[in-house]
Amino acid sequence: MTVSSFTLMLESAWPARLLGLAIAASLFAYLRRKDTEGQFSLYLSALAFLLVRDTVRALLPLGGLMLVSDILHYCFALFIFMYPYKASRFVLFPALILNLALASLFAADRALGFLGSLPERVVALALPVNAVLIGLAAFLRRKEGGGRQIPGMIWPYAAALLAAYGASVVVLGYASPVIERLAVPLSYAWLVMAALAALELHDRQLLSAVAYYEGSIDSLYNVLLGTGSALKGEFTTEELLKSMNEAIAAETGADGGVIFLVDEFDDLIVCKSYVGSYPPPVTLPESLPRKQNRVETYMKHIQFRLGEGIFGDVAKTGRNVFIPDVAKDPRIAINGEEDFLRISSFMAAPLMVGDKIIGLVSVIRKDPANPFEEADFDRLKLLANFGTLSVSSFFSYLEARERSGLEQSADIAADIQRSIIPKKVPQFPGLGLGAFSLPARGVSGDYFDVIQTRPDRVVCIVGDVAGKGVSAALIMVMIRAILHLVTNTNKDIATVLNWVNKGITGKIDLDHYATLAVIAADTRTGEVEYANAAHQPVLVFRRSTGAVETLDLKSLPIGVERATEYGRKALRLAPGDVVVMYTDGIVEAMNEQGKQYGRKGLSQVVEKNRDLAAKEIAAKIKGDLAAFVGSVRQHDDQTVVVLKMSQ
Amino acid sequence: MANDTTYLSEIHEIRVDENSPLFDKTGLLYKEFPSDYRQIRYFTLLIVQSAPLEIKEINLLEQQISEVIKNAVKHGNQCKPEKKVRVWYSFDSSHAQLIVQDEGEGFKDLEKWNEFNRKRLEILSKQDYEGLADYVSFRTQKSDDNDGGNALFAALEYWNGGFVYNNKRNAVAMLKKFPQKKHAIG
Repeated sequence: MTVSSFTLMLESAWPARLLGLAIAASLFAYLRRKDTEGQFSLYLSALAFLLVRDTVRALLPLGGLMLVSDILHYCFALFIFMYPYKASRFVLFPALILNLALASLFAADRALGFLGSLPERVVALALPVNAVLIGLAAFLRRKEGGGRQIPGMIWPYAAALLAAYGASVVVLGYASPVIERLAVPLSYAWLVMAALAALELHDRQLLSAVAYYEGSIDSLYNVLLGTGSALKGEFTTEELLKSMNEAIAAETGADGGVIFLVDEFDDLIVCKSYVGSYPPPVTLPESLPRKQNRVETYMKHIQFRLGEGIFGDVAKTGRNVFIPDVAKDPRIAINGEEDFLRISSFMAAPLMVGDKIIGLVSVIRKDPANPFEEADFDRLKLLANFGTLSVSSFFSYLEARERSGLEQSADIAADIQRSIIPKKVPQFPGLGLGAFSLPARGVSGDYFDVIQTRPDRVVCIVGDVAGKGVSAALIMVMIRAILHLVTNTNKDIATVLNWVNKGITGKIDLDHYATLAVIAADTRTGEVEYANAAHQPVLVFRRSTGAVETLDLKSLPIGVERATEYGRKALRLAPGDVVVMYTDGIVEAMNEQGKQYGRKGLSQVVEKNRDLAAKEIAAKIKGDLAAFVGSVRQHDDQTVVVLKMSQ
Repeated sequence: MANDTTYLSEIHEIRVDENSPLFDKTGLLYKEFPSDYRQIRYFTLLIVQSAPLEIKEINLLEQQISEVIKNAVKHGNQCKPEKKVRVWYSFDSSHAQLIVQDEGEGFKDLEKWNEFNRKRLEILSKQDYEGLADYVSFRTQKSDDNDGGNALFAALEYWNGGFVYNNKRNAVAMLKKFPQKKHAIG
C-alpha cells in the first residue's frame, strides 16, 4: 500500500463506518456472556462481514462489490428477523436462495460480462423487496412472543431503514456521494439498534431476576415463619410439617400438598402431612369406595416402599418431578373425573439434608386451564430445600432434647448414688477400714456401705445394681434402706440377704437385680461372717502365709427368685490379715492392650502393701489401677472396700 | 430394594465362618455366666449397661442380646447351670459387637434353618400369604412350645453387620452398625 492510497483511505468514509460497526460489535461482545439464546454470534458475524466488506472496498474499488455485499448484508437481516418466527421460515429459505442466486449471477456477470452488463440499479431492487419482506413477516407474526427478543423489538425501525436504504440505492446508484457518505452508514443503524435492544433486554432480565428473587425471598420468609411458629405452638413433627406444607402449597398456588418422610428402618416412605385437597396421583385400590372423605383418608395415610411409584422414585433417586399436564404422563394415574379424584398438574421435590433424602414434598393443581409453570417448579424446589433445613433442625432439637433427658436421668442417678455412699468410713481399734468408689458416666450401679450394728460389730457391704438410670438408683436406695433396717439383728448375715431379696423381688415392675457381698466382722476377735448374692469373690490376705485366699459362695443375685436361701461362711481373721471386697469394674478394668486388671493385679497390690493401714491399701489400689488403665475409658463403676485386722 | 430379585439377593443368612473378623476378640469386654434361665435378664442388663446411652435407649439392643443369650442357655447348654455361657462384647455410638459361646453340641440344624428362612422370604416376597402359613415358625424335635425360631429371623434382621457361627457352631459372633444421626447438617 502506498502512502497516498493510505491517505486516501483515511479521507474516505471508511474510518467512520468502521467506528460505527466497532461500537455495535463491542456492545454485543460485552453482552455475549449473558447471551442465553445464542443469537449474538449471528449479529457479530453480520458486523464482521460489513467490516471486512468496507475494508476490502477501501483497498480495492471493485465494481459491483457494494451491491453483492449489500445483498448478503440483507440476507443476514432476513435470517435474523425471520428465523425466530417458525411460520416465516418457509418464506425465509427460498428468499435466501433467491438472493444468493441473484448475487452470484450479478457477480459473475460483472466478472465475465456474459449477460452484457446487468443494470446495477435494477438488481438493487432486491434490497427494498427484502426489507418489505422482513417488515411483513415481522408484522404478521408479531404476536408470536418475539417481543422478548431483539428482532421483535426493533423490526419496524429496521425494516423501514433497510427499505429506505434499498430505495435510495435504486434511485441514486452507488456512485452517488449521498449513498457513499450518508446512506451506507445509515444502513448499519439497524445493527446498532439491535445492540441497544440487547442492552435493554439484558436490563429487563436483570430486573425480572430481581423481582423473582424478591418473590422467592418472600416465599421463603413465609415458609420459615410458618415452620417457626409451629415450633412455638404444639412442638410436634406433625405441626411443623403441616405449617411447612401449608406455606409451600400457598407459595406455589397449589390446590393441595403432601409431605412424605422416609422411614429408615423399613425402607418406606410414609405420608406425614396432607393439606388442601390432594387427589391421589396413584391408582386407588378397587375396594376403596370412591367417596371424597374415604379417598382423602386413604391419601393421608398412604405409604410406599422406596423406589415404588412416583413418590417412591423421588424419595429414592432425589430427582425433582415436574408434570404440567398429567394427561400426557403415564406416571400419573387417573382415577376418575370427580373433583376429588382428578388432578391436572403435578410437582414433587425431595427433602434433602446434604446428600441424604429424608422425605419429599408434592403439590398439585386441579384446574387444567391453570397448570403449574416453570416458575412454580423453581419455587417448589427452593422452598423444599429451605423447608428441609427447618425440619432437620427440629429433628436435631428433638434428638438433643431426648438425649438431654437421658443424660439428666443419668445425672440424677449419679447424684443419688453419690449421696447414699458413705463419705467417710469408721475406724476401730482392732479393725481398720478403707474404701473408694469411682463412678463411670451413665452407669451408677456400684454401692457400698459400712454399718456399725454394735460397738464391736461392723457390717461391710459391696454391691452392684444392674439396671438403668433413676430406676437402678431407686433399687439401690431400697436395698440400702432394708440393709440399715435389718443388719442390726441376732440372726446370721445370710438371713439379712434373704430379707433384702424378699424385700426387692417381685415387688415392683422395674428391672431390678443386684449382687451383694456382705462381711460382718467382730472388731475385737476378728471373727467374720460372709454371705454372698452372686457378687465377686472376696479376697483374704493371710499375714501368716503371705498368700491370698478367695472367699466365694455360688448363689443367685438379688431380684431373681423370691425364695432364694442364701448361704454363709464363717472364718477368723488373724492380726495383719486383709480382706478386700470389690466390684466387677475393678477386676474387669481394661488397659490399652485389652488386658484385664484381674484378681491378680488386686492381690499383688495387697501383698506389696501388707504393712500399710487399710485406708492406705485402698489408696494404693486406686493408684495402681489408675496407672494400669491409663487413658482408656472405663465402662463400669469401680468400688473397693478394704478391712484390715490391726497387728 | 428396587424389585423383588434384588430383595432376594439381600437375604441375610446364618453363615459359618470361624475366621470372620467378627470373631476377633481384641479389646472386647468379657463376662461369663452359669446357664441359669432365670438370670438371663440380669446377665443381659450387665452387658448392656456398658453400651453408650444413645444406642441402648432408642432400640432393641437389649432384647436382641437377651435372645442370643437365651439361645445359648437353652439350646446350647440345655439350661445346665454347671455349663457356662461366655460373652465378649464391645459397644460405642456407632456399633455393637458380641460373641456368645456356649458349651453345647453346636447348632446342628443351621443349614435346615437357612433353607427354611430362604423359602420363607421367597414366599414373603411373592406375597403368598397362604403358603406363608407353613413357614411361620421353625421347629425341631427339641423345640418346646415357646420356640418358634422367630428370634433368629429377627436377629438376622437386627444384626446388620453379620451373624456368624464358628465351625463347631457353639459360638456366634454378631455385629450391629447404628446409623449415625440423620438430621444433623453437614
